[in-house]
Amino acid sequence: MQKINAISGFLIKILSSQKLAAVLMTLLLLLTFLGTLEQVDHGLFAVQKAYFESWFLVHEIGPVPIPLPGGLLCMSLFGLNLLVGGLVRFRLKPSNLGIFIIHIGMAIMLASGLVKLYISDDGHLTLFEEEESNEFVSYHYWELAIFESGISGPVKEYLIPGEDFLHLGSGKSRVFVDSDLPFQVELSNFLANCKPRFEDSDLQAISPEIEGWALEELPMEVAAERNIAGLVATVIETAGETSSSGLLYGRSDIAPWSFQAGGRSWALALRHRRFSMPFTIRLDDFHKEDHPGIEMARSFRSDVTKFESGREQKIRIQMNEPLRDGGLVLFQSGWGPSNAPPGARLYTVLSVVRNPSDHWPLYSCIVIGAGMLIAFIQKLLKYAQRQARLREEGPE
Amino acid sequence: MSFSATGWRPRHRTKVYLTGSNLIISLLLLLTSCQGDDRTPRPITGKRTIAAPVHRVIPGASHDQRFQNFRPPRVPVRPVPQLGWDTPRGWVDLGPTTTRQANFRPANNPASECYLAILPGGGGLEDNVNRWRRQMGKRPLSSEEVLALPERPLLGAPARWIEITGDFSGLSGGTLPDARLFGLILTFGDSGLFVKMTGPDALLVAERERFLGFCDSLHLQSIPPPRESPGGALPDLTWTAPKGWIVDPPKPMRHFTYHAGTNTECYLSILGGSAGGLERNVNRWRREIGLDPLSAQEIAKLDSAPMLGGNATLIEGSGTFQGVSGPPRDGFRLLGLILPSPGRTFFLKMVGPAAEVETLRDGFLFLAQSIEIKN
Repeated sequence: MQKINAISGFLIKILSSQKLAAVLMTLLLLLTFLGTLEQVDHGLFAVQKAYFESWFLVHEIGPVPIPLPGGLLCMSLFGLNLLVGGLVRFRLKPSNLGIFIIHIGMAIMLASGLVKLYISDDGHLTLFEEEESNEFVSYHYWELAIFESGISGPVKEYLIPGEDFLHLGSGKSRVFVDSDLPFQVELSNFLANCKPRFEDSDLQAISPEIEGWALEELPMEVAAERNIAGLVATVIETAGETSSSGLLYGRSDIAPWSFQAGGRSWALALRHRRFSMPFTIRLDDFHKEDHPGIEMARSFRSDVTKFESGREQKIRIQMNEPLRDGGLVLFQSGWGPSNAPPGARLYTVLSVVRNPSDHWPLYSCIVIGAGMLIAFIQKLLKYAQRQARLREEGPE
Repeated sequence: MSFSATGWRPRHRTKVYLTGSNLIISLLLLLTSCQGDDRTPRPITGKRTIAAPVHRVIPGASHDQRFQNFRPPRVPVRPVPQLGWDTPRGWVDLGPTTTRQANFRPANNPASECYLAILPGGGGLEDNVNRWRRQMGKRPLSSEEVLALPERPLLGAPARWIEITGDFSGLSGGTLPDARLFGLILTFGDSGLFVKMTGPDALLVAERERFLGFCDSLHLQSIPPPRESPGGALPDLTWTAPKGWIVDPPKPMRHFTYHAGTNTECYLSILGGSAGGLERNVNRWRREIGLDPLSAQEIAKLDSAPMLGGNATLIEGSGTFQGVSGPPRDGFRLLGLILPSPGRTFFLKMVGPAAEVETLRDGFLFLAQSIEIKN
């Protein structure tokens, strides 16, 4: 028992240490520096995952691998350090009020990062004029949708999140079932970036060949959103044990793989994850203005109609004027096609973010600012009082 | 409110001890749950009902219909050299297929296979070595490791010898445990000659000498003239070589090859279509000589030189030359001209010691200017 107490005491001493805080802040600074350099070769998304949303990582300087704690570990320890340090060391009294408020602000900043990491979603809503949607689509995350095709009315989708099949590379597979479905789905041969290839040779493809087609693995793109995933799906009918296989490819203009099972038509689509919005957006008008004499956009904006609970609202979304509603923020972020000739039909790209902690960093900065102001004023007053006292006492 | 580090006591005393054996068992459970096949069916938990389908489904669409935009374009058929060989005793000759010049069943064992393929545009040495390694469940090799693979003569040229043991997973999707792979890859330009044998480990060990004998027996029979193709036949060219340049025997994928100076080679290749595009080819050559790739805008600003009535993009640089085969060569210089034209792309390239290439530069430009299409 004594041993446990000694260990817990030691742990608390370490976790409440100001030296630990200094080390962690130095490591975070180092991670920011190395991660920024790595973005050149590996892109923002991959670096964010590897350096800031990880527990550990190995950074390579030339041939030398250097193990480092990831941003998640550093920030978790930093949060723990803040909490334990506050409990162990801090004594709440008027003279410490400023410092206390500063630490509250830091805790809000860390909490906003945690909420952003685990609860937020982001993606895009791409619409041509007169098109409408109540969903936005992730830039990076994949999912597999199973649904019955050829029916009218509402469609029920069975969704397998990407986390369940991203690791199913060559030689690995996993079976998915649901009591409503007359078949099982086996997924295998996942490739993070690939393209379908007609098998006129066997020299590049690494997926099984189906109807003369296979998936050819491609190098990963620096811009992660440009990677197009693919995998092999095998459907095994629950009754009869017959099976068939198809290649799934995650480009939105490729038709889903369709098949018959249980006397009904079904389809499987590999796609970027889709998120529902509490309202529908219709693009009424997209306006782009170019710089004089060149085809470079000077400004562009989207006039949309928002439909929610039977009500309509006309809204203009443009640079620095996003639409904020229902916990979502819709920014004007792009347009296309980029090579469209003058007069061609254009589409708008609205970036959509669902982040409950959207404004927390701002609140954090305000709180920290207020805390610093109070701390400085307290120090100033203390200094002034000391000086006044010295003047009263006179020279010795 | 404060706690001192030594005065704190846990409110609940939980009797959980992290012993060494507990830790090892936990780690093993964690590892086994993350690796390999997961044969336990996993329930689908995500469900939603939407008012209308998101995707346009083509009922019963074949893969051809779904992926029609990925069909390779019809390009001129490039001549493939005809090879001869001696079939080892006990091997069953299965005849050629579309992309393979020869197929065999060694020792008449259905689990074993040997084939010979010459593939224009079949990828580089590293891609194919690592594709074979993946088929055998092995990690890919780095460029340095690939270049360190042993050499073995094939058709009189140094080919890379690949030998891998493991579980073989071919395109058919099945897996052959305890397998072995023998392979020889000879690359020339963007093309390659591949001899590959797979099968049960014990069988391949027993058939090793026959495989090597088969490889040694390979010989060039002829290079057929270009065939008519949907993209049109290759053009009939005339040219004038600079004085003192020595013409080399015909080589696969090359219209002509010359040797100049002591160790400089110059050759012309003609590939169908855009051959991957100007940017990709310029940067491929720049990488070979150790230069950084250029953007399309930078390539547009490169110098040009007249060839075949057009302005060909001039690529030049000095450094360590690393072609698709052979060791790196320091102090080399590359001079190249690329001319995209309707239906095909012309590549004239000279590589050799830097000082030598510089003295041969005028001859190179003279040769380029002299090339003409007959009639």
